[in-house]
Amino acid sequence: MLSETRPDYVEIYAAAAALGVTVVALNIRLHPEEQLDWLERGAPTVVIASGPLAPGIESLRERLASVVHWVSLEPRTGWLDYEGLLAEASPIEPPRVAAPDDIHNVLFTSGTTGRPKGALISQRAAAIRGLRLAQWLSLAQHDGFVGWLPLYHCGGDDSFYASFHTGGVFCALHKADSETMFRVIARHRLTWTLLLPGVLTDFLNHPRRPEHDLSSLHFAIGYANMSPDLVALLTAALSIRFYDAFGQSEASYLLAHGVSEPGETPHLRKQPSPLMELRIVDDDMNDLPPGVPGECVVRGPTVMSGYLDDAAANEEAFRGGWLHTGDLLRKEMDGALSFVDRKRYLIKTGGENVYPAEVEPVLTRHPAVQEVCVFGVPDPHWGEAIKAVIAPRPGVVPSGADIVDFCRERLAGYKRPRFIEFAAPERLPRSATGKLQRHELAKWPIDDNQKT
Amino acid sequence: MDRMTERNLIQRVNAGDMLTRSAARAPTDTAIVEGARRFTYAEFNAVVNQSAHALAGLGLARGDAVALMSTNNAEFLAVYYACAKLGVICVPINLFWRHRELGYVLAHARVKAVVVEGQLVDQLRTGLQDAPEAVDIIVIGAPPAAHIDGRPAHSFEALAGAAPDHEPEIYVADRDPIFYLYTSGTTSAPKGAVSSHLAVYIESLGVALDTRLNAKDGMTALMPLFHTAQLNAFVTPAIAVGAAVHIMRGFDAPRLLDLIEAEKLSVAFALPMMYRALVEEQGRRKRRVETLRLAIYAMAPMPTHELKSAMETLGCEFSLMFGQTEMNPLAVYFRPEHQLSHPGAVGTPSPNVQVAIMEPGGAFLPRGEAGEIVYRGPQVMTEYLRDEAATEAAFKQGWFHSGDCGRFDADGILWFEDRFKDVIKTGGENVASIEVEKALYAADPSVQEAAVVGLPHDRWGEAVTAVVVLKEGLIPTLIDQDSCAHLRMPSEMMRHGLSIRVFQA
Repeated sequence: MLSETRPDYVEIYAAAAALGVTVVALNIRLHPEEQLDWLERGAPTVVIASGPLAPGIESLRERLASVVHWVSLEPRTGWLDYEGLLAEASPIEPPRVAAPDDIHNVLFTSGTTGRPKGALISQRAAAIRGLRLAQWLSLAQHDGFVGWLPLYHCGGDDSFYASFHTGGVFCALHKADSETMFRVIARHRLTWTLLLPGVLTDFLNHPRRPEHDLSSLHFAIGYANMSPDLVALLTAALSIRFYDAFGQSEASYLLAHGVSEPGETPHLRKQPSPLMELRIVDDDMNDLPPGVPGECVVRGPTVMSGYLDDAAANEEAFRGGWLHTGDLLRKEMDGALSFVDRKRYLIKTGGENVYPAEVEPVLTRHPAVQEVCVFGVPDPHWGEAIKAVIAPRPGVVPSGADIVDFCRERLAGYKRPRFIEFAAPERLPRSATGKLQRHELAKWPIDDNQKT
Repeated sequence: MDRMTERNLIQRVNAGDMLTRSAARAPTDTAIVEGARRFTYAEFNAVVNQSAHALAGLGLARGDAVALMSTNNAEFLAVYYACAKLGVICVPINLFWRHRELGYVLAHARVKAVVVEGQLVDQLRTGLQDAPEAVDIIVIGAPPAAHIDGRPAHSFEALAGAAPDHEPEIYVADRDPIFYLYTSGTTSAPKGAVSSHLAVYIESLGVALDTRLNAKDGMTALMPLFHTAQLNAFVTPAIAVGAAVHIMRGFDAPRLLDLIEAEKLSVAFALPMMYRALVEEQGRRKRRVETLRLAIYAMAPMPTHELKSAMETLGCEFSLMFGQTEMNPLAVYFRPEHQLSHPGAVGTPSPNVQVAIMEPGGAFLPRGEAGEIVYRGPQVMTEYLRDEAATEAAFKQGWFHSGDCGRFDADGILWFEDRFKDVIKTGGENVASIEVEKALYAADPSVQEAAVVGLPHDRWGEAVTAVVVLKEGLIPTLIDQDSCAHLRMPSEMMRHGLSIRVFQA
């Protein structure tokens, strides 16, 4: 499937599920040559593409031996026409032959290091992702989801499974356009959505937001550690609750969450969700005491069946009989969890461990800073040195010296950035869901002008 | 640990894991309360693990069946969850069974052991001789002797108390049986409905979703735990989300209201007549029950005036659950918002349950027309144990046949008409016994209870026959024993007459 999020895409997802056919959901933002890699690995029998996206992969037709049928959602020469196929097809309920262990879809994880891996999601995992989400969020028939998320991302998929379990509405949107989101919220009285960085900022600051009636919106799910103050502004402005989520494609986007009330700064303490078992362990799988950060490992029926054709990655992901999330968390005395950082973002500088998540929230409190990303760069003396890339607030001319002073009053010496680079927000590389791509930023050159 | 077990433990659905995970998530939250006994999730999970190791110590393993014969108590649930974690099949025993009926179930399920409450040992012995495979008897409370009918008798407490409390991590497949529930047949031997972990798991989540159950809820468990309703429509969903379960040994209106007040309970499950008693008791002595948010009833409808008075007195929403053992059990939920707008209906399908109305030939009937209620969904039983013919019949045309007769109204709400087998076929007409019963109640205030059945009849196939119990001291006014002229029934239904047999209470 290569399509924007739209009703016929959701329909095809459900139809494939009923037949036990696996959906390989392609990232529509990739270059066709990158898509070729996914297509070769997924080896689909049928490719279905939306009208606007079909031309992009036209060039791959010669090179894909596995594909028998090319179907376009809009009429296109040389391709089968989806609407035409529907018109000819019988309306009778097809036999349901899928088994719980059959693979429902392949989600290529954003792969912030190296080649993306294809997470295999079973029918059972998909069904229970939706049920559990609906139960935990107390969804009901009157709830409606603002479905701006791509369906090659678990945020889109898990949300429509949850909507379908309760008979609620999943409002499919081609992209994250704030004004369209305002319009559909008002028109369909939608109640919940997922907001990710970038999208969240625009949603909050959009000049036309006050013109729309958004009173039906009850809550948003997101990742608060990116910018807690922004979240507080948003929830106050819309009078909504915010669910600060922890999760991933391999296991479901909501493995744990914390709730904050309108206007409240998210406190980042999360309760693990029902049906899942989470442990915080060291590298030898020993449980760590409260307060000590360790990798979060998980078991439960929403966990993926494995990565597509990647024995080494599976060995690594499932070592010790648990799924390794690659995230560092800390258990609190009362059993709540706090997210520390991605394990691989850990910066080792002069024998100290520094997590970007310790530094970034401090920098975002500076009045000139809109967004920030912190990572390690090679350093001959310290092993790694800390670099911060900062997107300034519109109309503000930031000063490196000012930010250094700000840090000096709030951070231990070894946690302060040694390099600071300013860049306009639109220059920052982002994933499809708006996450800053740390690994891309780390490739940006360092120079003496950036030195603090 | 081998690879297969490792992967199983990561991704499987197992009813026992629901407890394990609630215990890991909120170890200090209250799980089970039974009188003065209280268990946190961590404590109860430890007891369950010990019970599992105790059962495994007797040689019981995945696929073996164990009978569980007990009144409502924490041990009942400990054994149920212990079996789930081991892949051992639990066979809850209906405490009304004795002698041949009990012996039949023990033998047919091929139980290898029986867990029995001390006070029920004598009742167990009435059926034990039919079950030679049941070698170990595990007694909750002190065993009366070292042997019971020649079989070694163990103390449950002693075995479990000596066992370790770590998780028994054992391969159990999603569709492995979790229990056999025997449904008493009116015309044949009981049938053993085989329930899987997957079915119970999905059903529990569906209930939690429908009833908006969450970790803050406190729930009553006063109906028998050996029935699937109390066990799987209430206890397993509560454990899945981490709510508290308050076990009572039966219904007692003053004690139940005291408990709701003292423990700030939020969800209750009882029968309509019990809610009637609660309303009366609140009239005698008012308790603070404002924590109660949802009162669920089953088995029978509640007349609107009673419903209103119960809603007012208890200050909470009401809903009805409709289903059956083979559905594990919730299939259709009569939601709070429909209670007063559609009085007498049974509701809308639960998540993951597909409901249709079928005519005998297998064709679907449109809205408004009555036929057999049929179901599909992951929570349908796997089969009837060792009964190929009954399984075939129940699953024909690719649907599970409920044996219930019903119809959907214009709003998409399901109405129950009758048990299919309670439809009396008389002279080419189908007469729903429930309709005649309703008419009898309406026609004569002296009727306390009425049951209408079809008795074999030479000419009409079956003859509509009512068995009526009169209220004490009242004399029947409208009913005379040979006439049905005063019954407000469609005349074509009753053209072959009605014979009524009257009993004094």
